[in-house]
Amino acid sequence: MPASPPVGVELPSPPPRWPRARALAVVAWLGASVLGALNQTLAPKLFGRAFDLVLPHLKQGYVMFVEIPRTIEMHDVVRADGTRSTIADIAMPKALFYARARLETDLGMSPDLLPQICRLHAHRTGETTTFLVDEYRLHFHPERPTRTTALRCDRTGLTPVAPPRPR
Amino acid sequence: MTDAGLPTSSMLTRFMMRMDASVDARLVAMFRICFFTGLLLHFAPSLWHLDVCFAPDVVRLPFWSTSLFRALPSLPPFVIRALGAITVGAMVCGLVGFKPRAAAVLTYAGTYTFASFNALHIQTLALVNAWAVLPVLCVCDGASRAWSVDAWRHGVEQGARAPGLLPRLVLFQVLLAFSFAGVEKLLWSWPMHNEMAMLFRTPRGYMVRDWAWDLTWLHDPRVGAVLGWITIGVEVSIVPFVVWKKTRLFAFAAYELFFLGIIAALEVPPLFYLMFASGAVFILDDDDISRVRHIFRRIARPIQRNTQRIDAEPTGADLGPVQNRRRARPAE
Repeated sequence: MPASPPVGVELPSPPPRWPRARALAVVAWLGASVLGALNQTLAPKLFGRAFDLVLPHLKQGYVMFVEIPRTIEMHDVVRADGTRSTIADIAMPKALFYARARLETDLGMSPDLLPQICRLHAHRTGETTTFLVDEYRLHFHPERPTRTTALRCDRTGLTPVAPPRPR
Repeated sequence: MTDAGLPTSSMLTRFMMRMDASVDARLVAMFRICFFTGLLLHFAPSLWHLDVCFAPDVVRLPFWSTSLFRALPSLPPFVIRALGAITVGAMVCGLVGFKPRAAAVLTYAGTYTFASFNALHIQTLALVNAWAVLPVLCVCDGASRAWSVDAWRHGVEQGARAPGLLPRLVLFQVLLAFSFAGVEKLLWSWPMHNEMAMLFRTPRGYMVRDWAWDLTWLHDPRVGAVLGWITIGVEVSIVPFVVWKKTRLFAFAAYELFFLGIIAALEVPPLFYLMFASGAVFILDDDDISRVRHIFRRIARPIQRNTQRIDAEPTGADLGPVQNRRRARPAE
């Protein structure tokens, strides 16, 4: 296919004031990005740790779960009328289009979040609910929880209780 | 000497000439809209619920600036509210293309501040990449040459060209993150531990979308291994395939399908998809775009012809009473 001419109107742009400095800045920016990427991938293998490169975008690698956690906790809620739902239904996670995953990841990152969710829910609705924490081990029958912990949630906070019997 | 004042023969000059070569302004506008929409979708819910996410007494997680993290309790609520409003306003300005450079400066400052106040509801790797793109948007011109308030105010003609530095730096960042994700996975023995299979072993609702989790064949470790190797293969090989002109369109299609697959099957932030999927449009140069148009036209032509044929076929109302009677008879 023949090469087509560029589409559109070329708007006049003033020539850069310091072309050499501009060019060097571009090269330095690209070099820093590559250095940051190498720092997050190779440096931990070679030196046992990544170095602090100050800029926020050079401080982390590019894979969220380089190793998927082998033990995962999932959180459900049993309301007073016995209906069971995910915790995202009462916690109103601050995420669009991935609410439950966000909340479960947040709960994994901070165990203090569960009491906060309970406190906010109990104060907002006055309802007493039971939080069920199902622990899954991915290496061992991942299709069902290996352990279930039940926590009663009311205005006083979270209290461990016996898990409800499955119907 | 070039117009820019650099000696024409130097490698640096040739490199900068390639970087500066103009692109279709609509591509840059598309990226700008997707990028700021992603940031807005990511931050707006937390900034709307400031009392739950950024109050001094709520559970918080330090991740970025510890001094900002410590400063939050001493700030009056109206300051936090004002900061939130400025951040959201800046994102909206970037989205509609009103002073996008200033919008990028404020968005960078605002998002970094709120992520430092509390990373719990915000932290994602896509954010790190967004912080690599925002400085480029702060410095480089040309984000609002099309589909923007600025273009409308200045009466820029349809089909304007935009300076090439911004899109090329964005493309560099997007492809760097994509390729090094593959390198990181390889170095940490991701395929050997079959982490992809582990991902599909996670309980329903943890990370995999329900429709994908319900596909039982995805839970097979062999399928996980194949998908894992395909993932790494695409990530590691994207750059050479993009550089080689003959495979560029194929690489672009594979890249877009890859991200479409991720957003469809996994619960990930929309920012992740919007930034990476739109950032790759700069892979295509003018020739590639006309090739894509040509392909689409070839696909669309038979469909158009069929539609015209259906439209042209006379209906019962168009036929006279005799023909109408004839049409009705076969059913008897």
